[in-house]
Amino acid sequence: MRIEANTRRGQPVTIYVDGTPVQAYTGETVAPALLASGRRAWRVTPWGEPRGLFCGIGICFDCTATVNGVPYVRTCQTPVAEGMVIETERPLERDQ
Amino acid sequence: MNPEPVHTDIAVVGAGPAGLSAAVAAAVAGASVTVIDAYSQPGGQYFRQPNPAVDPDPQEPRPRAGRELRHKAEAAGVRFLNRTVVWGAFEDLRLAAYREDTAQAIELQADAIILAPGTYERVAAFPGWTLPGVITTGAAQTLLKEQRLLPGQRIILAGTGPLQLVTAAALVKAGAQVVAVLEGASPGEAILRQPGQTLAAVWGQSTRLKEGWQSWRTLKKAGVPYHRGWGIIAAEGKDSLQAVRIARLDRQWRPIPGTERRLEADTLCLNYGFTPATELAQLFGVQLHWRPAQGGFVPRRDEQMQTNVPGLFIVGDGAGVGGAELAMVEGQIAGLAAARQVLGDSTLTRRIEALQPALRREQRFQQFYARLFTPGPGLDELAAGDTPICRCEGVSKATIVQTIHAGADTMHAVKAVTRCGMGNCQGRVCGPLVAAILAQETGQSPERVGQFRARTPIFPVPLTAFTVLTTEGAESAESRN
Amino acid sequence: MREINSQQAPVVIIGGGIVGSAAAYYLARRGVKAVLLEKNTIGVEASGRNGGGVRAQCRVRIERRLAMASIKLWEGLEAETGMDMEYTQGGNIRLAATEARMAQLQAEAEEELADGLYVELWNRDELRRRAPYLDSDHFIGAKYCPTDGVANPILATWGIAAAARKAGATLLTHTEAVSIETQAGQVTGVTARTPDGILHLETPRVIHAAGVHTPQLAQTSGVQIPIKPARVFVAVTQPVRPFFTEFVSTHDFGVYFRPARKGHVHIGSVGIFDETFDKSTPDYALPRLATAARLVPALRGVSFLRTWAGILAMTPDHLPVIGPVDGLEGLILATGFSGHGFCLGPIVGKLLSEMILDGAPSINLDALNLSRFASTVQSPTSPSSNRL
Repeated sequence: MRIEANTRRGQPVTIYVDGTPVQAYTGETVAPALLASGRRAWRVTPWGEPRGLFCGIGICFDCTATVNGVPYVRTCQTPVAEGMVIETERPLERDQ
Repeated sequence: MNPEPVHTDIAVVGAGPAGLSAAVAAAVAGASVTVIDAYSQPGGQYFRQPNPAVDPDPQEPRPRAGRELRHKAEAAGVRFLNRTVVWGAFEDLRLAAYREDTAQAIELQADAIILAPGTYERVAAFPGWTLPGVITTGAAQTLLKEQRLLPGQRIILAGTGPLQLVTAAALVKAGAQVVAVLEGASPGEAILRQPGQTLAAVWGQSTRLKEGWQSWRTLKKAGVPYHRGWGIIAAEGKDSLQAVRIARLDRQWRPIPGTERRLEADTLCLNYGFTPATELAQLFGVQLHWRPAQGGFVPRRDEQMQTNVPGLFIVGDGAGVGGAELAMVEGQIAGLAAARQVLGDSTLTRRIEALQPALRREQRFQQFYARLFTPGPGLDELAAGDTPICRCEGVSKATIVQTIHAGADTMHAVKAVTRCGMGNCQGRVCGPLVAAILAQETGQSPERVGQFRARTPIFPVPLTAFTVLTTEGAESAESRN
Repeated sequence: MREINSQQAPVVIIGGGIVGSAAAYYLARRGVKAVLLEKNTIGVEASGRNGGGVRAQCRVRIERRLAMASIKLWEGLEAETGMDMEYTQGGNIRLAATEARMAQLQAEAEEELADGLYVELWNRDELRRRAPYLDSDHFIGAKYCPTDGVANPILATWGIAAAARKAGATLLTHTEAVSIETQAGQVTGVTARTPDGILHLETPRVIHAAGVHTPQLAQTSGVQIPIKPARVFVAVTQPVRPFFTEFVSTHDFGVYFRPARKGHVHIGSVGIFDETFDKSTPDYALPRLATAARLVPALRGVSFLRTWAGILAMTPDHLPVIGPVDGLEGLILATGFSGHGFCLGPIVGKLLSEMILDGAPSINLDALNLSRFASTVQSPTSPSSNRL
């Protein structure tokens, strides 16, 4: 949840998560915007476990997603931008 | 395609307290300094800066101190490469880096390099630890301080050390419901047993004591329970965290039967201390030694923070966990020593020597602190057979144990055979967990077990980033054929 | 060293790579329980550090025969041992960027077809059609062998070793052979260093398959083997959606690439002869590995996850040394595979077992005997000819 008290936000922008619009603000990174939208997980491992944010500092690669076509982008390290396209990671065909 | 490598007198890797202090000291002494840092704003974890859209002029002490240090660096002419990961280290003090926002590959050649890479949070593997909602305390800090966001509604913190206390207080102040703080150690006992050492160690540490005391009061006022000698034994939930099971711990951090309780929570923040990031040191061929009180394997250094590789200095928590104050003293010493080496300015020697008392004071505190907050062996025994140890590749504890007993009884062999540590995080999260299992299963000391060997690139980088490197070596090597 | 432990063994195998492990496996299946000595753990040298190619095409005749026989074994190995080795026959493509290279592939194809190995020659159009993922501007054609493929080097070596143990062989890891003892031109034993002390094994037969580390130990019994180290480098990408099945190589660019089971692409460079045992990746190896992104457009946005080096055991003619040693009864060499050994591992292991059990291997290996480097062999009885 975004903290509202005594907090300014940047300009509102819309990012798209698997086609669904999600509200975010400039200056935010993707992972917090996803958490603020109520999502706890946005990746499924090849063996079917849901994953979201874990380390928050770009080390663990648990929070990755395909961002504007680039795979395995760490959402906790990537600033949002208007119209950004996020595709959540699903198991590769061979693993299913 | 292959531009000349960028030259700088001194390259500093990492812009936390240690790196910034080193950069300022070296630049003020007259050296040209380039700081490379993975994050969008200098400051590292300790001086974490709020997102500028939220707060362009932070007034809280830590971000402000970090900002002042950065301004000093800029005034002294330090050049910053932000959002830039260093992924390779090569002969003749060369670094290969990749700038993420501009997708630019960079090769940097320096006359001296100061590594200030910081640490990774130590976590524990227990049933349910991969559920969404289980995060590190560092993640909670980032959300709170940088993004002004609460990680959840009902939060539990578990682990050891004052970061848990400080974070819990900050969460309470921001309006979160903190269900409990579980401190695995019983630090009060150690202080009572050794009052003299305690006094000597905390002498001159008033800022730290004040911060701790204020956090403590915030929690008391909010009625947040702070349980000493308690820990997590499992996390429960279907698609994300719903509850945690906790228990009282004995001195070895083993759960005491019959003390188990269940607490509902949607967020669990873990921190069991820190592990120094030694990947670049490894690639440079730095000799490491085992210093558990400093977080594990740390580089051997002389009094000026220089390693066995001439011109390569390592400072801060990445050279042995000791906190921000020690990191800043080390940074200054290394900055001056590197500048002295590069500029040939022997007048800097007196200033290096003048920092020795501060260095010793902080080292004393570090030794004291490490005794209070060191997890016991029980922490490494929480995982069940089917608990994933490697989050990236989904390798379970049972698979690792079976493989070890089938003869893959080295860190390298476990990795090769099970794929544990081969995923996108390159073994940063599971490395210490695997080392603990290997030590336990083979009866070897952690020192003998060692750690995963760092491999180029130490962060995933696009294939095209490799093309920036000079290729002269290849031709000379082949012409010998 | 604390203790001296003495034991007897019908055969001692030195080296826990794929060749040594396969020899232990095939011997054990026929009732001979060998003792294998490995100074580290199984498969951590060249056997576990290569491109994983299992191919018969693009080899000289003697190696082709061995490779074709080995692939027959590979086809049944997983079922026979119950071990997953990630073996697949996804095909092998050798590319040609020049007319001269294409002519060489054509000549090779004639020999291969004559030897019963099915291969196809592709012109540029055919290459475009069959391997659309390649930037075919760089190439004028290729040779393709559908029965070639890949296996996971670590899992395969590990799997064969595990099967050997299950069949009754003794595998001693962290056990480094330090000398081979001889008496009157006959092997009598091996001495090894273990974590617990010195181990002495009395044995009439030693299979010496220690890869690039073979020469040093062989010297303790007076045998000179002309092997030098070379390095190969392999890089692994992050997983991608599978878009090809073949092992693809080009000598014109000095790289190869192949898919692995979980979607990673392995990219390797051909050997660099810098004669070092260092397994780190030097800067100059990286741009060459990156040329794969030029040849395969789909790899352009893909990231490397890690790289590593493997140390090859190179002989002067780049062919292995397999067989007994003149003048020293009981010593059998299987080494110097010069980067071609992984695929050959199973058949060489089997032939070694035949040498011991049947007196002679079912495929004639005379051409690979150490004696072909006559001037480099120092007979244990005449230590005068010491020239290299």
